[in-house]
Amino acid sequence: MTSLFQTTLELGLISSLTVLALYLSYSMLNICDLSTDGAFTMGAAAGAVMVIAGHPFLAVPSAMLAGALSGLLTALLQTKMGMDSLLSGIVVNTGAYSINIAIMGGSSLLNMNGRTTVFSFITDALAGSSLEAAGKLITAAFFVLAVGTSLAFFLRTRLGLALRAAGDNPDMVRSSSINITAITILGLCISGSFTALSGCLLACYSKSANINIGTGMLTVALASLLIGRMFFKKGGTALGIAGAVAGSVLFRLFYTLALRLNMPAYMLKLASSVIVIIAIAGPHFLEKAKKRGSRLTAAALFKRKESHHAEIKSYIKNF
Amino acid sequence: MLKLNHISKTFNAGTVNEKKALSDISLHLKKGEFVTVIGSNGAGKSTLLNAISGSFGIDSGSIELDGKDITHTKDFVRAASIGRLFQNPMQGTAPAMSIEDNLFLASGRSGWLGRISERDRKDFREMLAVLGMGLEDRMKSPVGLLSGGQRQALSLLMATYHTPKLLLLDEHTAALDPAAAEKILELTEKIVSENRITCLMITHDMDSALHLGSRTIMMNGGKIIHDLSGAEREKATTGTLISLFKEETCGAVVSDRMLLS
Ligand SMILES: Nc1ncnc2c1ncn2[C@@H]1O[C@H](COP(=O)(O)OP(=O)(O)OP(=O)(O)O)[C@@H](O)[C@H]1O
Ligand SMILES: [Mg+2]
Repeated sequence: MTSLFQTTLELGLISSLTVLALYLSYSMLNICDLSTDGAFTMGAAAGAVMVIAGHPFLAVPSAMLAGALSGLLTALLQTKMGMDSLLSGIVVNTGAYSINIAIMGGSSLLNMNGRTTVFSFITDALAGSSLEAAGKLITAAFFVLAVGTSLAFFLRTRLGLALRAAGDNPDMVRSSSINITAITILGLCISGSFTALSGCLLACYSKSANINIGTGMLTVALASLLIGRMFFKKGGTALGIAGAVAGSVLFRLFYTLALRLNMPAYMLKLASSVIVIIAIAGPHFLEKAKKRGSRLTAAALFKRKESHHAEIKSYIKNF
Repeated sequence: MLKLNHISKTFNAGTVNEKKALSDISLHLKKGEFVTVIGSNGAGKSTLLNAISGSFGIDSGSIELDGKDITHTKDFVRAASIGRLFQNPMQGTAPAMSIEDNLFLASGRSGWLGRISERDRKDFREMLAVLGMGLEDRMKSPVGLLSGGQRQALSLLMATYHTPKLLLLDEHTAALDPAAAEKILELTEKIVSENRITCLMITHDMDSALHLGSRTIMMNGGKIIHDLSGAEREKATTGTLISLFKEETCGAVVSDRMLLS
């Protein structure tokens, strides 16, 4: 019997892969990739098809390849075909809906009951040992660890630095010998593959893939990313990655707690929207308030100066 | 080293906003030559540098660098042999990344998958120490925390990390306070002369235009209207430049500000 807490942790870890994808595209490359939902479902669909065909391990690279292709298309649209980055995401996301149904053989729901998945494989392998109950958790943690450490490693390489610079100061990269188009394409392919991996794992975990599995994932992941950022404000990329994973788990935890407090399950998406709004609008208002504060002190200073002048004037007069 | 053969560029051709920014410009720079460029606002100085670095294609003419025709070469490919610095000190560095990360990126060392090694750090420290700004002790702090002068100095190091065949400086000290501007000019002169870099420097400061380098060109209306070097340049003063400019724009109401501003 797995506890509620463990399920929360498992789901948090699985969706943290999408959060890591956003960490790369949104935080590093500074691109809001609106094709995230579609790529997530694409990973689920491709993974499920492979699992049903009897290839539980091939499911993982297949899903990642599908996600990378989706990222490639999104990137090509905005770097080579003059499309705005938001619009290219929307267009790919919409098109992906049809592609995903096609991948699932024309159906909008695939069932993997009784099939071997990476999760069931590991759980079976651990059968009888004391770790059996933690099989799914170990599997999810393994993927997060693998993706997290390779991402951390990648971001420290010169290629990774070029990618960070492309988001940080595109003007600089444009006037350097780095091909910013190639960097953008690479970044979106990698982030697409992470998103799809996340979708694939969620489908395998819940033993079913449906066409709406990715709906709202972008906002959920963005909320997690922003929660994570709150706790790991400063620090390098390694901390940022740890923060993204922690944010994802925390988001799931909040959600589970809210469910325990009788929040209906359909409120998940609203909760994620509200968190994103608070996380983005909050600092914005704080900034404004700070500015108003400094304006007030400026006005006060001015007033003080004026009264000082009056004092001097009256002093001179009386002299 | 650099040969511009009759290059022209018109922006927004065929519209009401049509603007002939470069008109039949020819210019030859010898290897190691340091040329200053002056001219009023809108004369086409920045456009000239942008054309050389490939920010846009030119309408006619050809550009040759070190014997190779680069007229149709992509900008990022040209950037491997052309270093650039801009007026805005924010433009040359990535603010969220540390000093050492910025330098490592510019160094192009150890391939795309390489990471900073201790040896790199040691080299970076030595380079930074030469600036005399104490940056060698702040290699891990984000570049965004540096002052404009410090950022521009770092940009200069990055742009010349691998001695470029050509260095293009577009009013790179104009946004700095006088002391910082002085310092950056000093560094520029030092780096350029030590490495014998061929260099084009736009400036609005008549004094540095005449004192730095060995040749001064004056632009107006997309053309090179004067090209001073040798004895003629030795004798020239700020006053000479202004009267040359007035003479050329014949009778038009010209104020010193137009040239100096
Ligand atoms: N991308 C562009 N599109 C349209 N017009 C442009 C563009 N770039 C420059 N121009 C025009 O070309 C002319 C020359 O501009 P340029 O920036 O080269 O002047 P400049 O000599 O550098 O002046 P300043 O001293 O003000 O920097 C100007 O009239 C400008 O408006
Ligand atoms: Mg200019």
